[in-house]
Amino acid sequence: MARLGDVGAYERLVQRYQDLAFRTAYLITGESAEAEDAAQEALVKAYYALPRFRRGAPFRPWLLRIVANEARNRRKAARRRDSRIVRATALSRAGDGTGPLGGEPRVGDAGESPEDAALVAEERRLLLEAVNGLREEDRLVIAYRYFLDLSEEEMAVALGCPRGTVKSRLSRSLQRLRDEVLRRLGAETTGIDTTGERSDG
Amino acid sequence: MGERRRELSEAGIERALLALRHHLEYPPTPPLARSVRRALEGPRPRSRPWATGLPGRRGLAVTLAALLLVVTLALAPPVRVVAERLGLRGIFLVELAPSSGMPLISDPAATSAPP
Repeated sequence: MARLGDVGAYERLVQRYQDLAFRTAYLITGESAEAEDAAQEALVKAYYALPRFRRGAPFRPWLLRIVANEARNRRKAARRRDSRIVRATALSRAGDGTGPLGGEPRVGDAGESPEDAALVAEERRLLLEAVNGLREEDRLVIAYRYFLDLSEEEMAVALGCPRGTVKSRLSRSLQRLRDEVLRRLGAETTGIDTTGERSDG
Repeated sequence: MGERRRELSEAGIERALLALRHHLEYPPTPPLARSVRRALEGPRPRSRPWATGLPGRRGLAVTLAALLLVVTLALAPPVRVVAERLGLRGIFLVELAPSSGMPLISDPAATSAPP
């Protein structure tokens, strides 16, 4: 375990967690350059905070809390209003019938037809847009659990709340996501434009 | 659309989110380990003696509360009044007068007037 003064050991620790730190920052800032700055600054702050880290406690959520705070502060400072979690353009490529993440074109999973694959991709796009349409608090809870694969215990540390609160917050966020998906499904059926600012009803 | 709505139970949404995870695209992770090491081997940022280690507003609130307490105790003239306001009954603070050496505040029981 790296300790203050052992920069080499800390560098090895950073190599292990840099993907997670950067992706967490990106989920909050929505921009690569901002995420890099936020993650780097947070990792430096974490190094100097190592004396306060309780030996034996989980390091990952402790680090993510520092990263999330740094990313939020930078986003507020930049007064950025549109802070989508992840670019929807990534999914639009998959929706063209090509493989996900720009890979080789393929029919789909388990013998799926191109039409089914396109439908699934369309549903993913809708879900991602619904996630982006949530308020930041709900987006972060969902991202921690389902995109970054944190356990409830880790989420409690990362969010700075009791474990019981994590369950209720997650449940509420999922409910709001469900409502958002239904709203968009209804809007798509009636042809109402749901891009941009959320409208009531 | 009816079929889509049927899938929108909490469990359905969870399954969809877990499936979505594998289709998200993040920018490539920059070489943070190297840049962090360079930053740490450079001059250390100026220390902030007022830093409480607590994040954001909580740290600021704790710092301000501590300053307020120090200022209050330093400026309030009768120390017993301060102690009483803080609910510190039974605590007697004695300050010796510079000229007489007599205590300015003493045990009330000893100084109370006889009935």
